[in-house]
Amino acid sequence: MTAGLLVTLLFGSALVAGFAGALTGLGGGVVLIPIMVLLFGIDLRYAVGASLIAVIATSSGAAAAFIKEGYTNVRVGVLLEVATVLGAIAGAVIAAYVSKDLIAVVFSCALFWSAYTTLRPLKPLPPDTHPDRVSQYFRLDSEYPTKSPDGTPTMTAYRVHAVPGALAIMLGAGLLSALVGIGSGIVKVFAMDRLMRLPFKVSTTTSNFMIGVTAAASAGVYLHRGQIEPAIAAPIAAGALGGSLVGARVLPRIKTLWLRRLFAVLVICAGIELLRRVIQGGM
Amino acid sequence: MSDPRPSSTAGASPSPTNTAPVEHATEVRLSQLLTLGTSISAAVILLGLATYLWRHASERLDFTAFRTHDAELNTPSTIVAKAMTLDAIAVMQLGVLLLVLTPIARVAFTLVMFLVRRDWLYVAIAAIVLVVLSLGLVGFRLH
Repeated sequence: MTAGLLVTLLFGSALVAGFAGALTGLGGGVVLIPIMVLLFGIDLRYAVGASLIAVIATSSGAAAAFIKEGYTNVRVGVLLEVATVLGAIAGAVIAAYVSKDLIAVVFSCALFWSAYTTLRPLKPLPPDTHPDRVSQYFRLDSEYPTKSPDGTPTMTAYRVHAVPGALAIMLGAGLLSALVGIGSGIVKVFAMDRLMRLPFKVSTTTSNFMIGVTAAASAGVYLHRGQIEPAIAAPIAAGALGGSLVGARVLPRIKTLWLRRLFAVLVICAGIELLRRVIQGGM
Repeated sequence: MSDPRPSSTAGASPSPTNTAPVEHATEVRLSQLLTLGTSISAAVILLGLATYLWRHASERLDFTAFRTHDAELNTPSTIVAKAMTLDAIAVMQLGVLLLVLTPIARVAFTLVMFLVRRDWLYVAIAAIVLVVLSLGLVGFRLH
């Protein structure tokens, strides 16, 4: 393939991945890796490095808009970051001593299950429910932009629940996702949506806020190993940035049900990609 | 600083401890930092990409096998040095490097934001994130 064609194709794919990744809070790496490996014949090591860059681009590009509009719960993000970085490092430390294939198979089953449950939303807890003590201590309750029945924009208050459980899930599942290299965003959205009972758009945008940090934490290693190839990473970064900015503009208009469906599709893609790597021996 | 969010309506009945509207103003600074970081890296990446395509668009590329490329592209200091010579590939890598630094700068800035608010609980939490993050980076380097 000529450089001109490859750069164009990578840019185009990253545009789509950045768009979907910004909306769902997943970064879009799981879409990009199979495209790069299966369609463009790029070695998995380059693809993994480039997808990490795509996640950072998507996160940083869209987070600016999401914070400004008031979707992102910065406190929840910062608090959960403690669990993610600890989980990621613990994962890196024990990686040498465990069977990655087995973990990948178990984790992909968990992904298929979480895709299924995401499509069966729990109602966000209304502000008049009893406040949660831990959540009060960390002052996590907040509000986010919605539309009132007559269509005028308004802010709706919500409460945050089950903080210790969410932290434990983030630590444990964060460790597993660090081991298999896929799904850290999925774990974040899942913990916030199902356990903490945040509104779905708050869960996805707060996940989007965090994933850039998780990815940047390991980017240094990949750079050092030579897995960040400029001719691949640069068009991917530019495309993902562009796509994420479009995604950030679309999020306020999209219906939550469609967002959940898009999320479920991406989670299934991640599960399949994980199984594919087990079968092909790429873990 | 203009606040793009609509104000709370009476019907939304925010909780008594809800200080979100006040805090939102400082969080907008955070979003401006992210915009700055991504804009600078996007500009550098596009400059490098344009130069690269101008010179090499019709060359054949093959990434089917992993090869160790020019080691100068693997460490921050050498990337900067090489990008200064306006080598297109190094300029692209410099843009990518700036992009990677953006979320790390964001974590540091979050710490400063909580300091300014005198929100000591979150100063401590953000400090833990920053320490663990840097410990992780240092630890990985030792391998």
